[in-house]
Amino acid sequence: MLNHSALLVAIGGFFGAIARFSINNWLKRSGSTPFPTGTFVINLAGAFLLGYILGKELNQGWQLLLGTGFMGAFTTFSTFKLEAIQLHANRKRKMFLLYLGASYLFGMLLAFLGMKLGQR
Amino acid sequence: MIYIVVGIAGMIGALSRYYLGLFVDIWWHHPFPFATLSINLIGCFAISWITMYLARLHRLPSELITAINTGFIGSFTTFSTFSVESVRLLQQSEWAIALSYIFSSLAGGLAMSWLGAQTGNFLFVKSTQKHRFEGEKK
Repeated sequence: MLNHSALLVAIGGFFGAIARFSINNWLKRSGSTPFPTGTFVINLAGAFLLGYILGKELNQGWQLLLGTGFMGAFTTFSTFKLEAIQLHANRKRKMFLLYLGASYLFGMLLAFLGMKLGQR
Repeated sequence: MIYIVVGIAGMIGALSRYYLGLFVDIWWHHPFPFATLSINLIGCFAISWITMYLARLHRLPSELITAINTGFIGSFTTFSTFSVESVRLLQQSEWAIALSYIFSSLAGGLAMSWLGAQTGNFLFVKSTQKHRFEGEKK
């Protein structure tokens, strides 16, 4: 079941999850704000880097390791949405809209920018 | 130690996403990124349900909850692939598909998170009431 491709995804996923967990813990320790800065920064950075990786047109092995594995696991959609509904539940409506709007807008913008830079 | 556990759970999450993607590709032949959308929506429901129910029950060690939520579901779902897929659809001028993908991710993700949180909260409240009742009987 674990062929060569799956092994690359697994290794990437292992380090991607640890990187996200570490950055989030580090940011929480250095002072917490109601805005989910950790997930926000991680998702935008990951969108840019995945765009860059795909733009570079690396071979399939690198794409599985760095793209599907690392960046796929580094960025997260579930935590992003959970944090959003928690902001809404805590009556932080403006922050809720800002978090959603900025994540979608800058996520796509940075993915586009990454692709363009990678293709150069 | 918890970092290694989160890493292993993340590995399983990434592999599940990879295999589910391969499985969907067998029968889904349409530019709409159905695999990523369904993965992300399932993950939204699951993480909210666990946070509002399992995590508050305190029956499972908190390290296990972190491994499942942050490690497994966090790595299973993905924001980077969503962003890249949306940009590609827009670049290919697939406006209708791009907009419906972005909208279903935006609204569907919130709806699934809300639904997961509501059912989780309902179960949690129900279980605490049951315990209180049993306590009163004694």
